[in-house]
Amino acid sequence: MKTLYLIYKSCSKHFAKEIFLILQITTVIILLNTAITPFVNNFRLERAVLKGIPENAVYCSRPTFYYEGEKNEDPFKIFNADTRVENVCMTYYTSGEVNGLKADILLYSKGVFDNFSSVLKNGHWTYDTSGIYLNEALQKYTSGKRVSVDVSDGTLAFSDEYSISGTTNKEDIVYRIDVGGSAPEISQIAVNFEYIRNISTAHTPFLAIIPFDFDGRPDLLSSLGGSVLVLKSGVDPNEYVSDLSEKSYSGQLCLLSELRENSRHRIEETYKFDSLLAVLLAVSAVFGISGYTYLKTKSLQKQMGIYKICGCKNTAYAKIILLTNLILVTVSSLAAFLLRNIISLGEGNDSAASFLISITFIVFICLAPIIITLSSVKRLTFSELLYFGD
Amino acid sequence: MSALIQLRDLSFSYNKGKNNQVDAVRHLSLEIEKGDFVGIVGVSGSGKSTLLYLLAGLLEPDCGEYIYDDKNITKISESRKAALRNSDFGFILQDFGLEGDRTALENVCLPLVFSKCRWGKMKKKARAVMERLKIDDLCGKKVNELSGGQCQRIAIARALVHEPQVILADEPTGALDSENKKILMNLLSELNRDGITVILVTHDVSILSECNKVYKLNDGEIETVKK
Ligand SMILES: Nc1ncnc2c1ncn2[C@@H]1O[C@H](COP(=O)(O)OP(=O)(O)OP(=O)(O)O)[C@@H](O)[C@H]1O
Ligand SMILES: [Mg+2]
Repeated sequence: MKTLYLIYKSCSKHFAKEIFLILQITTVIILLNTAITPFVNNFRLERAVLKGIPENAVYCSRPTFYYEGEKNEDPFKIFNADTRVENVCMTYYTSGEVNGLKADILLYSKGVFDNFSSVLKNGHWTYDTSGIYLNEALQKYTSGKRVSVDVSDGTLAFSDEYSISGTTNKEDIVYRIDVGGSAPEISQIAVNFEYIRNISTAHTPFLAIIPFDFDGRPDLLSSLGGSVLVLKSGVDPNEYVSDLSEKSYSGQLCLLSELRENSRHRIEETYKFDSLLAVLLAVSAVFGISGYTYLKTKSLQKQMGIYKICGCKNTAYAKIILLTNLILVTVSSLAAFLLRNIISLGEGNDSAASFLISITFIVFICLAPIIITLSSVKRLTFSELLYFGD
Repeated sequence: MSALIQLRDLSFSYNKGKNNQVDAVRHLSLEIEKGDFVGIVGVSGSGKSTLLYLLAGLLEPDCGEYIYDDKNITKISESRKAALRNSDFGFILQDFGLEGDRTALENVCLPLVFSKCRWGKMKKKARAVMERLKIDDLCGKKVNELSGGQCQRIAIARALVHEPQVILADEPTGALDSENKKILMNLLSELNRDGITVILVTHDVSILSECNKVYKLNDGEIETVKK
């Protein structure tokens, strides 16, 4: 209470300077966030490629379903039948806008699996077949209609009728289903992440953007599901893509190299301006807040002589400035956090990481001037404090 | 029992080591008992204010010792000194040292803000002191709208509000007419009779009659006038 009173006393009349500063910091956070988002996303993609995505992978964008009747069709059928494909994995996706174009946002990283595996690890799910895609081996048992699954610590248990047990594969989204019997069969189940996205609140940021205009029907983009085809070793992804006839599957294939190139292209072309903006903003923020802190420190010096006579400790001085800046940054960050969903600049798909980076930067530049000013103040004698500015 | 305040061979220079060094206090030794009413006189620039700052622990002496209430002030930490100022010392500054854009009441409350006094009790305490000094009608007025004499009394109220053991007054009668001077001196003697030690710096020889000890500072060196 007393500290708050001292902070209030140290602020300008009607909080004019403080409100101005809050506006400035909020703007800087929002714009900085927008400006660094593509860089952060590219970094994430590169990391995901390094860690998780196999080099011999092909990306496929395909519709989850077109019409009611097609809902029950296994969209992986063609790939599962293809001997060159080793593995089919679903990718998480969402849609957004890039340069005014609707874009399919594909995502493939271990972090995603970790996020979702906590959702998938436990619980009782009932999926219809648009929720779970079963390959042929499993379809023998489930006749492709409804399946209810109990998931507990990564172990799957299907509804009583089917004596199937399975385990989640930590490295991938694909569940391995081991069917018992005299001739054990290994099968796989893929999960529709659109479905999971709707039931889980935590949105995972995207990694890469591949623009698609799917059959000229952008409304279908929201139901697009991405998948990753991991090819058998020795199969050239380039040849595989050119080999596959467009008509034989519904969707579009692209290569990992294209995915990376796309991301790099966005940084080099579209975001040259953004990076310049980020630097300018950073500079303006440094001057804004450090100027405020500097002036505040100076005006507090006169007060501090009086405070010292009344028995104020030296640390109270630092406490007042530090807390004021902390309050300013907290209020601004909060405002920026609330506003960033309303004022969506750029593509409107920032990530939590870029937002955190922006805020960390602001906090850092708020602290730097305090340390400098305080260390200079320590050297001042009492009379210099008391008669400062006279 | 040893004296409340003991200064031993205390020296202080401004801008030490630089070519504009000023030796404001030189090898000063002094003893002040609890309940004393001490007067300190001297020409302008003789180091009177500096001595008071040293007594309040606001300046670090270059050499010598300062013992207050059996505590070696030259050795204790900055934050303990601050706590001591808050509990034991009431300081009346030469130029009042008030916050001009704040009300009189807020100014008087200030020492309580840094003490353990509860937020709710602060204003009550400050009002009581202001009533005693008959300035309770100034409570809500901003300090820079007040006269020099009124400011002087607010500064005194601020020095008294936290019930200090020692009052350090730097020219408290500077801005007062002879009548108010008398009222102030009566108040200080009254406080002194209650057991509070008063250390008074002044140019004005007429008010020294109240003091039981008088010292004179000459260019930083002390000389006893009355004991
Ligand atoms: N901050 C400072 N820096 C340098 N010298 C100072 C400082 N404050 C005071 N002095 C010098 O120290 C000496 C003593 O000053 P001090 O203020 O103690 O005098 P004083 O006796 O209180 O004078 P006055 O009666 O005018 O108030 C003076 O010569 C003054 O010039
Ligand atoms: Mg003086």
